[in-house]
Amino acid sequence: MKLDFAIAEANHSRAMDLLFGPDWYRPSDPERGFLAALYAASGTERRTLILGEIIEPLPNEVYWSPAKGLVMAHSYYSRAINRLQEMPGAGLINVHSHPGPRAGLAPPAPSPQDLDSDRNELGAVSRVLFPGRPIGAAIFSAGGGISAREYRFKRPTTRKEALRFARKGPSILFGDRVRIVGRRLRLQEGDPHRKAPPRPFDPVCTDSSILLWGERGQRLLSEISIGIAGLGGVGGIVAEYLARLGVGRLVLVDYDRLERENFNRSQGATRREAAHRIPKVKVYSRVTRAAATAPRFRVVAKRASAAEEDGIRNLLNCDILIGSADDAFARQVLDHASYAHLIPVIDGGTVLVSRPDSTIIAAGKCQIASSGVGHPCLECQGVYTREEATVARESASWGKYLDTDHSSPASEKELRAPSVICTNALVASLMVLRVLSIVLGTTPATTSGLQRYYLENGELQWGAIKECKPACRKNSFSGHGDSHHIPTGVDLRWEAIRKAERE
Amino acid sequence: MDESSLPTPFRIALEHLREKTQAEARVDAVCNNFAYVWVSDLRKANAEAPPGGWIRLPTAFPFGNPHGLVTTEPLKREDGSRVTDAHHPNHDMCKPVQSLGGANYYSWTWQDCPPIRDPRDIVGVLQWYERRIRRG
Repeated sequence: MKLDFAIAEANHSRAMDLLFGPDWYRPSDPERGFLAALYAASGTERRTLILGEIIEPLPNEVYWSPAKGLVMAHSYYSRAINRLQEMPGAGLINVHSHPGPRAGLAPPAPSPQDLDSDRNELGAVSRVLFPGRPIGAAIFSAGGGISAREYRFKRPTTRKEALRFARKGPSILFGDRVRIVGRRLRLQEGDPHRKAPPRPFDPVCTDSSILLWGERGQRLLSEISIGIAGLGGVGGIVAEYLARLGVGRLVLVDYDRLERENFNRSQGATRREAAHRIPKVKVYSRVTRAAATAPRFRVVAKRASAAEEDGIRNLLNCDILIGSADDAFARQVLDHASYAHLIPVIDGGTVLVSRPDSTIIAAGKCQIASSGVGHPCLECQGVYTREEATVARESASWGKYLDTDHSSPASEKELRAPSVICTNALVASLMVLRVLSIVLGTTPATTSGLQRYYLENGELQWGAIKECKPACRKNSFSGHGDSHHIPTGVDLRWEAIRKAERE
Repeated sequence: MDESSLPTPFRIALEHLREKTQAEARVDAVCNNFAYVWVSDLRKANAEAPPGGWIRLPTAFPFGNPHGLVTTEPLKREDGSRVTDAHHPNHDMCKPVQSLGGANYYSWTWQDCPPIRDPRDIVGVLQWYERRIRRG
């Protein structure tokens, strides 16, 4: 399983201030450090260690000793452990600075003294923290490089084991990458001993976009992993766009099948696939493989619902999530995941209202919004309400059709809403532009917020909400990973399909 | 029913409810993402009415809103007349607790109510149910 290290932008700024603040450079005191909460966030293929609340040192709790190096006092560890035991799921990370390199993002390597003190100090911590809580250490360099490592200490079960314990030592695993998550997403290498070369990109196929964001930007796209929840008219187009842009890895989650009824807005799908009712994840695995410009492109297809545990766990392997499921239940699940697991979510959808006996579209909107640390949540932006998410949980048909025809009983109504590929493509384009803005900073003014295009008058407007409402609690579980319960459940639409397919 | 399979925030809410007002609160069924929580001391407007009822709480509580109440007997107002607001006798929603006597469904929703933020808000939810019963 891969290991990442993630930190919210605000925590990163505070950490850099504590480690390299204005008076940081003192010849006799070359390193600084602090302790912080550490959370584990698990997908099916990736585990992320997230730096949580920083427990700031008091005067003389962290100091430099010429003989011992950087010392964190026992009283500081005790205070930190007492605090962490009250925080469900929180482990401990020891963070310190390395004065060099002062430029470049190369991850700094721990010295033998660092590893030695970790073995002693963190080994002792492992005995007092509740079992299962993560323990780690990280180094920040003045240039901005970060490396992080996780320690797994064997917990002694007998007195004899306890005596031999310290000498035996722990297992150490370095995080492959560092994610700094805020309005933007920054990705850095995290393993100072990494031997594998960076993922390649194709400079010929992508030369037109390299003119915009350079080879560094293109390499970043080839390193990134994006999850797509829902492969309807919008999600399918987003998947192909991302593959063509050079994104290195896609995770596709959807439970539906391609059919003649949705063929007219399934870009890249064939009539044959529609006739055979092939699952959409399979169709778009083929489409994205054929369209990919990244040489080592990988696509993972999971026939599942993003609102259920196995669907969301696959998406938690990703760096950014696309929410195109058009369902308040799935939206709420993704909204929670974005904060707890520090994975930005870009949500999009379109609604059209027809006018009987006319070709005029009575009303229509195409909407996108981003959510996660540094952004207001989808709920506060009005993308869904708590009540809509509640009702969607208990009704398989909720939200599937617009009640415009009052002549037939509801039970006989076709569970369909009007849809057209061009509005789907419009939403998909806005969503992918948002991805580029968050990952590459291509259009800083469009990184956050809700954009809505009204078909009837052709206006593109911005939502008024710039931050979560004061009573919103999403930020209270930011970065809490697995210790925050994501409100998944049984997706009744998917359950009905599963039941029908079993029979 | 085994409550250990329910999500942690839901179990915290249930424990809090037991501690504060409803010592005998229990989950009798879970169906379509909703738990039927039996509250034996649910105060009814009519003194002669048998106590108790099942409040329907989403297993995602407190991130989902309560929806509906199931009772064994039709609810009555103080003057003895029946509560008719959103009353559905023998509705499908009663099925999970039908064998325990559940026969009357009141499809009350949390629409336009103050947002639920914490598992401990469950006490306020119960008071809301009691107010709805009193208002009829």
